Amino acid sequence: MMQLQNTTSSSKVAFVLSVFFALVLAMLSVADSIYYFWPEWLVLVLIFWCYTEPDRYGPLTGFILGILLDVLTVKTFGVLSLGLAFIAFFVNKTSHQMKVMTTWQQSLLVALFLAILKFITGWVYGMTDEFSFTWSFWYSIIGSMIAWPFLTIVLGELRRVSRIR
Amino acid sequence: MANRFRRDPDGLRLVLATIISVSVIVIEVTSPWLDTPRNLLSVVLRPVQQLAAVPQSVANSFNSALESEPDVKVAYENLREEYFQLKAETLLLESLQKENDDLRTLLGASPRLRETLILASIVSANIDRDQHTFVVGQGQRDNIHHGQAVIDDLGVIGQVTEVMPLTSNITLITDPGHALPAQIERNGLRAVVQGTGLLDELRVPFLNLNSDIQEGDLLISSGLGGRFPAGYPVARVSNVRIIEDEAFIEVTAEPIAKLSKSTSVLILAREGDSS
Repeated sequence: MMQLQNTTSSSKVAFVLSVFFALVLAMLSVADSIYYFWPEWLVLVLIFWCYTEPDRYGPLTGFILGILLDVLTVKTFGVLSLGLAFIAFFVNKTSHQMKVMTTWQQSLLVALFLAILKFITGWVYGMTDEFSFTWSFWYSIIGSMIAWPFLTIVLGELRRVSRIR
Repeated sequence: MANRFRRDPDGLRLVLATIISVSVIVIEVTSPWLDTPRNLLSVVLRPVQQLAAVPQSVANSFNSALESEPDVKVAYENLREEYFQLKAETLLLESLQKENDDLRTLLGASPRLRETLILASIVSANIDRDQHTFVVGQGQRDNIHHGQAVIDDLGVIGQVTEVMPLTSNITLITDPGHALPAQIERNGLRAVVQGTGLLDELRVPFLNLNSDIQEGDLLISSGLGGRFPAGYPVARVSNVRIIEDEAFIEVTAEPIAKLSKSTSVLILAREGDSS
């Protein structure tokens, strides 16, 4: 958290903006046909910031974003915050490798992260709530893989603009 | 150990986040202490939900703007006709209500509670195999309480299961964890209507071979359990199957309310519990 003090505020604005729009996208009610494939926008945004700026955004960021998503989706409080903290940690650890990967290779890694997240959250939901694993539970990984390249372009641009200012 | 964390602050943060998350989950599951912070956060996050609901309302207004004038005229005529018809029926109902009240006083029974309606708009729908819920943009501020029944113009939709200051959560009758006491309109046979996790299918369990139930029967809420008021249409029996060597028959029904199409719902409030 020490690093937070000497950062430019505009970069933080970019982060907050992207998180806000990711939350809106996550809550959007979409057509039935793509409902299960709807990407996990907030997770993708978290992965992006954790790998581009691993010194600034880490497990605690993941924890806070998870709390927000927990409140919005009205499921067991604390489950997503646990999962996202883990994801942020893993992304931090692999950030050096991710920076030299092509976007499509990153996509595969993102799918792996999401699978881990889904496994953790599904497991805890199974203990605390009525829940069972189904095929459709995993479909959003595919949607997220497809969305990732586009998201990195948009967020990369946002980050670049905020840094110039 | 401390040395390790100094070299690896992320690890420390992860441990910290894990400890907090796990304790939050444990507290959440065992007690209602966390409702207040959650309610506060939900108010802060309200703009997100409002923004997320914009595309749908824009699409709706586009649809209505694109309707041609003759169509609107026809629709208007139909509505006018329906309005007068309904008004006439209401008059009849009022007299029946009065008669019913009189009869009840004669019998010494307590008067039937009257319901008032709160119109609520759906902000988001959450439909997957384990959970069927709507989030509506009305909450504590609009006098909504936990456990109130929710209907639309055709039939029962579900009940309020979570109330936050500005929003509340509605569990649908098709939610796999939901069951509702009902009876058959034709003969008053009591039954339970359970959700299956499919939007167009309900299950009516525990009816034996000699139960008088057939395809096309209308199931209405029976009022038992005190949560759903009696007499609202719930579902229509779509299939009755007898399985040999089984104690119970397999009955499936189709919900009457427009669960997948509605954009606003009505929340029933008993008169007098508006405190």
